[in-house]
Amino acid sequence: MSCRENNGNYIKCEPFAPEYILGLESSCDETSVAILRGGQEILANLVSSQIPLHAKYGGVVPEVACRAHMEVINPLIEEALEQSGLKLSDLNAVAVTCGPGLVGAVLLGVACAKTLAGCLDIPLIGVNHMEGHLFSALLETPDLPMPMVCLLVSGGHTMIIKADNPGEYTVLGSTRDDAAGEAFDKVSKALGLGYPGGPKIQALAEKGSREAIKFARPMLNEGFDFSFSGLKTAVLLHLNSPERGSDADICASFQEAVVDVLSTKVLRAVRRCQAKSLALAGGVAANKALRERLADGAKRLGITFTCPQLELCTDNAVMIAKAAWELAREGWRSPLSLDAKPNLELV
Amino acid sequence: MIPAKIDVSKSLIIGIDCSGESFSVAVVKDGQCLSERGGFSPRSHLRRLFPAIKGCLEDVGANFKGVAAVAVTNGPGSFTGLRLGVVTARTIAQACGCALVGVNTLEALAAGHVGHKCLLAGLDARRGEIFAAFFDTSKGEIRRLCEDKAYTPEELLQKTKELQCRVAVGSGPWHYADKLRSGNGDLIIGGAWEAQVSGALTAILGERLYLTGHRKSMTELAPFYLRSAEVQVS
Repeated sequence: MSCRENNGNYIKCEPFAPEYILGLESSCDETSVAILRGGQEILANLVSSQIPLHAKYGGVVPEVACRAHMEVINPLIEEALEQSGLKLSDLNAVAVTCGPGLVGAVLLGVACAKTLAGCLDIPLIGVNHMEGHLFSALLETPDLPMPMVCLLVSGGHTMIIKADNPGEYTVLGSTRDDAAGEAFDKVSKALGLGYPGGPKIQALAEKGSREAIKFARPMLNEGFDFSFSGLKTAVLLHLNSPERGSDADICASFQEAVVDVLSTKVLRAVRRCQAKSLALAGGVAANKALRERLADGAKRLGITFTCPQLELCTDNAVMIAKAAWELAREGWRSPLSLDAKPNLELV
Repeated sequence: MIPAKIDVSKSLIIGIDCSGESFSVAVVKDGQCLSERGGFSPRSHLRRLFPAIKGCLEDVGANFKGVAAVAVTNGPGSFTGLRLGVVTARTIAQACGCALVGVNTLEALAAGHVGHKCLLAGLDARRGEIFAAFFDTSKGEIRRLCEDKAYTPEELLQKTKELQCRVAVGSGPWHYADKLRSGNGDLIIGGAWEAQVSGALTAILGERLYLTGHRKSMTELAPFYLRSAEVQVS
């Protein structure tokens, strides 16, 4: 925990349990505002997605993202309060993602949150976006047995994390190049299926054979780090091969390779750490094949498996409010000089 | 005449500018700056802005309850900076129920330089351009001579000759000082100390707008970018 005290974004105070926490999340291409009661009850979870805005570029354009966050962030706060039947003066704390993410986007959320907290004179709690994803597992299963191993997979991250307690983490492995979600996006783009790639590839994969093409499983037997850039390149090269096969077969075989690598490594981590639970989080957790494979693996090991419901897997402010609630109970809050850190590390 | 004692419990105006590499905030009442804070802070605007606003209020023994309106320079300027200023102003208005006013950045800059028949106010817009406008401040008021526009240094030089402009201020002219000076020997270019947009002048212009009913709703007060987001894709 000492790293929290040293990074300038936290101050230690008396532990507290804020009844109503307003959470803000704007680290990438979703603007989200949530209100959480008593650390568990979701009163509002609003997500304004920018997917249509970025679709024509095949990926997130930072300036386009920032302009869109700007338009919706304050109105979403109004709406969340209305939905919860609360007034601003009822709030007990403001939670916000302070990194990692697109710097200009994180900055907007932090500026908004600190101004709210400062004007209302209530505590501000900065949250690491990744920590939010980790805590989303506790929303689904509040008394998750520890230690837990979590596979966090999204368009920007691929990580295996061990949590001994909420707030105490070890990163066991992460990607050395592309994130798993990014590989889905790039393969989807090459096949002309559109953005975001995950749902498109999953849909087409259901019509194909996952054994049709034997794509390499990069770094399968080496440690807990990942590399998806090589797999992506192998798929792109295969598109020009004479034995190309159908798009459905390519999707099914590519998805199988990704699921194989992710599940093999995370299950190995579970065994190595003698973890009592396995959690899956991040946008790629929406992938059905991956969920099923991990659920099955956990069952065979006799440990608890948890995965947040789909809308809490992708970026959302509920998980930020949840993480803040746990941090508040440990006595952590943030100063009004809270900064946005685009490369914020988890530990 | 300045009253001996100023009632800080009401009618205060907060001014915010973070459109460039320096930021400036102030608390104003009746055209009088009560406190001003800021400084050159590239990459640390977010960290310093809100504590500075709070500090200005504390300087004069006031709090957010006494604020009647927040005025913010909403463009042109650095996109990230404008968004930071505007979202902060909007959120103060949302949390405190005060009014919101948008002030043109170039007008706030020109307001610090009265007495010129033709004044060029310009901001460094990166990508080899300057966001600029020309003003007549000879009568003490800021009279606009043309709309805000993104100019290349060459276009701007041409325009200064056309309008017989003698004085240029702001980060734009300062950044391209050598080029402008060598092309137009008559042009006097303000130094770095004259390039700063003042939070106090923003608040003073904002107070006039507020009193004359030029208030904006949270969604009406948006950054004025002067350049499409698509340009940033390349």
